[in-house]
Order: sequence, then C-alpha cells, then structure tokens
Amino acid sequence: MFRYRITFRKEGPARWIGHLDLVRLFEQACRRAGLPLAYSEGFNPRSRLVFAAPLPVGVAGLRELVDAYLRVPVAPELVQARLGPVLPEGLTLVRVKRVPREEANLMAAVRRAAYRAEGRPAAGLCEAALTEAVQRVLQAGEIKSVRQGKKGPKERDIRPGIFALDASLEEGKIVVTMLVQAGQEGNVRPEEVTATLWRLGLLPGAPEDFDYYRTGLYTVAGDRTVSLG
Amino acid sequence: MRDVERLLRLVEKPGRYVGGEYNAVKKDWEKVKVRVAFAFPDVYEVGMSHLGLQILYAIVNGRPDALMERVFAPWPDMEALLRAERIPLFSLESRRALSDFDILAFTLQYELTYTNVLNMMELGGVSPLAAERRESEPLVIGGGPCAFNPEPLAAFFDLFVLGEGEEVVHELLDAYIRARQEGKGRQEFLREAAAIDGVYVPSFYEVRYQEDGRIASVRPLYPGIPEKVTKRVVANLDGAPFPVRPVIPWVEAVHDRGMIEIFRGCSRGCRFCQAGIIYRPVREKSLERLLVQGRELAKNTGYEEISLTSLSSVDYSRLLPLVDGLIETFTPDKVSISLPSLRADAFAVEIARRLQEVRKGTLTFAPEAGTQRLRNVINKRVTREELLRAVEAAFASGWLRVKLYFMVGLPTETEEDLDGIAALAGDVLRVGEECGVPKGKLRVTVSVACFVPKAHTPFQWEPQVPRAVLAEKIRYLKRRLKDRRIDFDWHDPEMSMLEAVFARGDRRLGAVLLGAWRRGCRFDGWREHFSLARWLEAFAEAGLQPEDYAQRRYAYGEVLPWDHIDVGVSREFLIEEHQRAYRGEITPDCRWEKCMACGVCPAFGVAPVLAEEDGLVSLPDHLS
Repeated sequence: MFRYRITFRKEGPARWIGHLDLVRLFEQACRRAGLPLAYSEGFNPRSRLVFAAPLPVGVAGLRELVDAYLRVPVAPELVQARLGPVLPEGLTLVRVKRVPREEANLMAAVRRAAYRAEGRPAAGLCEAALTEAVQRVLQAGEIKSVRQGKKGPKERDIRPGIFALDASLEEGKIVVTMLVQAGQEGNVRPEEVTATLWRLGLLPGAPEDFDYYRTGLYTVAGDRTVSLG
Repeated sequence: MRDVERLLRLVEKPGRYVGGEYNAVKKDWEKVKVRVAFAFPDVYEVGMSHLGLQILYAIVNGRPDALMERVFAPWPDMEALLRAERIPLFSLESRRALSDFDILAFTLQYELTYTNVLNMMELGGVSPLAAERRESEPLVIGGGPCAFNPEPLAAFFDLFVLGEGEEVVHELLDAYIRARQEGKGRQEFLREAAAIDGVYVPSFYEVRYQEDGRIASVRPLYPGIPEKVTKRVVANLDGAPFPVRPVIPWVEAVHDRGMIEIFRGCSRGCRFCQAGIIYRPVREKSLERLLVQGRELAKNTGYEEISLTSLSSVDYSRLLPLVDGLIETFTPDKVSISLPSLRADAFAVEIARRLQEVRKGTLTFAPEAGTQRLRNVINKRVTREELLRAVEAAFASGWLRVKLYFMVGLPTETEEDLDGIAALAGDVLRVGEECGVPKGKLRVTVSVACFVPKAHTPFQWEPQVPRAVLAEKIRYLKRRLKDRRIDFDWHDPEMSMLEAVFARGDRRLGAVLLGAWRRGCRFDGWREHFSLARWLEAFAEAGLQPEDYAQRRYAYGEVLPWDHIDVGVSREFLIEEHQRAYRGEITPDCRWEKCMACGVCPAFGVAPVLAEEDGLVSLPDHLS
C-alpha cells in the first residue's frame, strides 16, 4: 500500500456537511478520479481513508487532512490532477504528498487545532476591551463548559485545553485566533472558547455571531507543536 | 443570502438546504426563457432518492432555453425558522424564493405528502389555491403516480401531467415559452396546454354530485377540452434520455446509490398494484444500452452501489449477461450491483448470490398473502413451495436473515389467511434451522402493510377494512408471531386509511386538505408527525366522513372521481379482473403467456418490448 497525505479546504456549501457524509463523499470522489484505493479485508470492505479529525458542522477548514492508501503507487501530482476536478463544490485540494507508510496513524497523531473566528463587533467595542477579555481567559484557573452528551449535559474544565488565544479588531471585524486541544482526548470546540471570551470579558455577543475556520492541525513532539499538513 | 447562512447553524442536517452538490446544475437566470422549480414534497434524503427527479432535472437543464432547480420540504425545525425570520422557501441552486419561478412542478409520489405540497407553496410565497393565484405567481403543475387520481388536489394545481414525462415536458415548455412571447395570460396558456396529450387542467371540468355525495357527472366546461385525458407513454424507452450524471446528495439519501432503470412497466398483474396498471406496457431497454449507461453512471458518480431498478427487476430478459457484464467492470472498485426487489424463486436467489448481496445480510421476498387461496385472489403467482425453495437456496448460500412482505385487509381475507402468514414465517424459520443457520443468527422479519384500494386497479371498487379492524388484525398477527427470532413490523392503519381516502377521493377533499394543513398537519407519512385527531377535525369542518371514501364499496355503475383520466387499460378488463379475483382465477402474464386484452397497446399504438438475444423485439401480434 502507498500512503498519501491530502491537504484540502472544506468551505462554501461543503462546510455544512457532517463528518460521516464527508467520508462517503470523499470515497465517491476517489472512485470518480479512478484512484486505486486500498480496501480493508473482510465481510464489508471499507476504503482506506483516514481523516485527521472531524470538523464541526458549519466550521470551514482551510488545511484539513486525510491520508489515502492506494494499491499501486501514483505520482502525487497525478493524484492531485485527477482528484481535484471531481470534488464537489467547496472541497478543494491544497496539496498531496507521499508519506511513509509506517508513520503514526494520522487520527492518533492529532493533538492540537488552530481556529480563527471572525465576527462583527458590537458598537463601541475597542481593542483594549478585547485584550482585557483575552487576559481574563488566559488567567482563569478553571473554565467550566457544559456540553450536551448522550447521557445529558456534562460539565468539564476546558482551560487546560487552551494553549494560545488572541483577539483583535481588523478592518472592522473581530478576529479571534486560538490553539486548542484536539484529537481523541480533551477536544475543545472553538465556540466554547468564544463563549468564554464573551462571558469573562463581559462583552455583548454570542458565539453564533462568528464564522469559524480551522486553520491547522498539529501533533506534539516533545514540547514542540508540529504541523501535520 | 446571509440570513440563510445564519439559519443553517441552527438546524439539523444543514446540508439539506445548501445545494452545490456534485453534478448539480446552476444556470444563469438571465440566459433562459423559462425557470422551473422541481418540488419534492418530502425531506431532502427522500427526494434525492427519486429517479424521476434526476430524469427531469437532466432533461430540462439540457435545454439551453430552460433551467430547473430543486426544492424539498423543509424539516419542521427549518420551517419554524423560515417563518420566524420571514424568509421564503427557496430553491437549492440559486436560493431564490419559489415565487420567483415561472413554473413550480410538484411530483406526487404519495398521498400523505399532500399537506407538504400546500405548505411548500405558502412558504415559498405562492398562493395555494389556484383560483386565487395572480398572473405574476408561478404556474403550479403536478405529475407522478398520484396524478392519476388528481381530484383531491384539483383546487391547488393549474394543471397535471399524466404519465411519463420525458417527451411531454418539452411540449409543455415549448408551449409555455410561445405563450409568453405572444403575451398570453395564464388562462389562455392553459387553454393551449389542455390540447397537449397527457395534460389535464382541472379547472376546465365541472363535477356535479348526487344528493348522496356520489358523482353525477364530470364534464369539460369548454368546447375543445377533451372529455378524457390520456396518459403519456414513451414508446421508445431505449432511446429516451437517461441521467448518467445524477446529482449526488450531500446528506446520505434513503437510497444512496446509482440507479439504472432497466425497464418500465410490469405485466405480472397483481390486482392491488397501481404501478402495474399505470406504467403498462412493459418496455425493456437493450442490453447494450444498459451496459453503457451502467458504466457511465458508475464513472460519473463514484457510487459504491448501482441498483438495477424497475417494478420487478428479476424479470428482465437478459439479466444474466447484464449482471455479468457490469460485475466485470465494477469489481476492482468494489462497486456492487443490487436489485430493489426479488421474485420468490431459486433463479432470483442465484442472481442475488452472484451480486454478492450476501454481505448485506437480508434477502427480501413479497408473497403478499398467507395462503394460496388469497394469493390467487390477488394474482400473486408464488407458491409456498417456490418460496420455501428460494429461502432454502438463500440460507444455503449464506444469508442469515429473510424479510417477508405481506398485506392485511385484502379483499376476501379471513382469519385463516392471517394464520397462513404466521405459518409461512414459521416454515421459513424451520428451513433456516434445517439449512444449519447458526442458532442466534437466524432471523425472519415479517413486514405488514394494510391494503389500500387504488384508482385504476381491479380493486378500485373495493372498500378498505375499517381501521379498527385493521388494527385488530395486526394485534392478532402479533400474538401469532411470538417466536423471538421473528421481527414484526407493520404500517399504521390510521395512515393507511388516509391513503385510501386520498387515493380514491374526489374534489370535495380539497377543503379537508386545506383544513388539515391549517391545523398544522405536515409530514403525515412520518409517524412522529402524523396526527389523526387534526385530520378528523378537518373532515368534520368540511362536513365529510373519511369512511365514506375509504370504506365504501364503489359500484361498477357509478362515475368514479378519476373516470375522465384514461390510462389505456379498459374498464371492462378491470371488471373482469375484479371478478376473476373473486373466483380465485389466475391471469397470465402477457410477456410470456397470453394477451388478455387489457387495452393499453391498441390505445397508444405501442407493444410490449423485450430484450432478446438479437436485440429489442416488440411482442408479436399472435399473442393478442
């Protein structure tokens, strides 16, 4: 098997598609592209596509990642040339590169995600108030966030999962950037962070006033954060 | 529409409303002469499974002078937001309000979508009542199987198209464009459209009732308007356009697969079946064409499964070479082939085995009735022995689960027939044990529908059993199917009653529909949304009884609400069939045995077409 890391954008109409639908649509696109996908053995063969991390519905992804395993080697440029034109609207390829087969599983490697949130500021909001709000979040010892689980609402502390946070006014927009915990444990959602920013900063607004973008996915090597793309 | 984007965050499955799917077509509104919205009155995942949508979408968008966009019924969460924010229901492609279109075309697949039809019109800014619609509002048209008794919807539609749409859609659009260019208004256009074969303009007919509520007469109001409107049949189906680049849904559809229609029509002649009458005669497509279409479809969609669709796919004359030819190309990509339904015989099981359907686990058969006597009444030609042989072949090939479809409330049904259903399910279990299906894995699903008499069928005069009795029959069966290896599911008798009302109803039901919709009825085909209480209020308000439609035996001599709709099959044939049913007599299949002179071929100058080894052949006259 030959392993390829595909970096793609998920935006426009495609950002409203849930993760399971995305997997199915990607698989279809690979078949349209005539890529020799590898399949799992067994009763119900599944294609070997490994996505880095599900993107919340409605969030645009600017550097999303999937590893595709092919039965025969194909030049990465050819994968890009064939797959690019048969993707649905809103899914676009950024790059395709070969990765060693033995490298860690993509999904398991993900530890951090970077997000950007953009929204229109309430009247009178100034840069200083934003900076102050960011400081309050970063200085908080504990941040309780309630999430709806299968067994009802569940409260947890998201503060340990916030590694960087910044907010500023740019061309009439509020821009919030953050680096948070992602992957199989302790996942923090961007709207949980913006909600906290508003709450602790005593600012008027709601998390749904923002457009969200995921700008990168990272792993951790020692004390370094390393891009997976 | 920034507003729409905001709503998308708040609804379940926003992909239902965004458009831009692979193979979707977005055309420039300024460059076409006519803009059509194709409206499917159910949720996206249901509508996107519908082949008719894909066929018409490809045909209309294939014209340089026309465009077609899609719209589906918004789920109640989205409806509430649209109303709260005063955003009109919009098409997926250009996000324009339905009121912006020239033509709003509904497909009528199921009676319990009718309230969604009214709801979509209103949400889209279109007046539901045709008589109140202004010149600036779209022309509202309907088609599909329920258009064969369009009367309950007569007040809401400008016209209905009866039968197969591939050819008549062009005639209709051409007439529309011409009328527009000549500056004609809606009434003038409708007068011209009524002259097109297959087009029915309900407002051009007057229905008179007798004192007891039965119909006295249905007459055209103007000279030149036909007394009877005949359905459309595509004589050369093999040459008809077929969508090999269908729109691929964002959200997984109910039937998420590519579809190749291998033939149209079915001459098996099950006496309850409306599709078997309205799509006559059988027209098979050629093997060569299907191989090409199958390969193109797989290539253009990337679907993992390609379904060979028709009313009875195992009957296709050249099924083996078709399956073998497709499997050969599909195998490396793990694309599988499926059949929507199986005949209960060993050949069908062999075909399914070749298709490697084993991995899906369940094989479905439809014996429909529990005893041979009742199967003869409905002309379902399958015997207990054949079914058990088929089931045996299935278990021997590795299937673990078998699903059986039955109906309750069929004409002449007795307790013995219900016992027969339980006995047959028990027989299937026993065969499974004998074939060595591992204990704990063997399962039989018994799925029961309630009989609904349908217009244009031999059972169109039959009453439906009262819903309380249907419910009692289901309870009885439930008690008889206690074995833990049997799963039992059934169709709701209350919903089945409403289906019967609208399947055989007349124009007076328009008031009931309006009343039910105003009371909040939506998605009536969905158990979680269905409310009989609201419907009963609407009936009471309109001064009508649902039982008068569902449970009344219609007389041979009375004028039926759909008598002015001509499907080509003669009334005499339907009466003979009805009587043969009561005598328990089987009717042969005209494809292989004998022509029974149903009347459809001479009525349309067509003949059954079969795919033989040396090409397509029309059935020879000597069968007639």
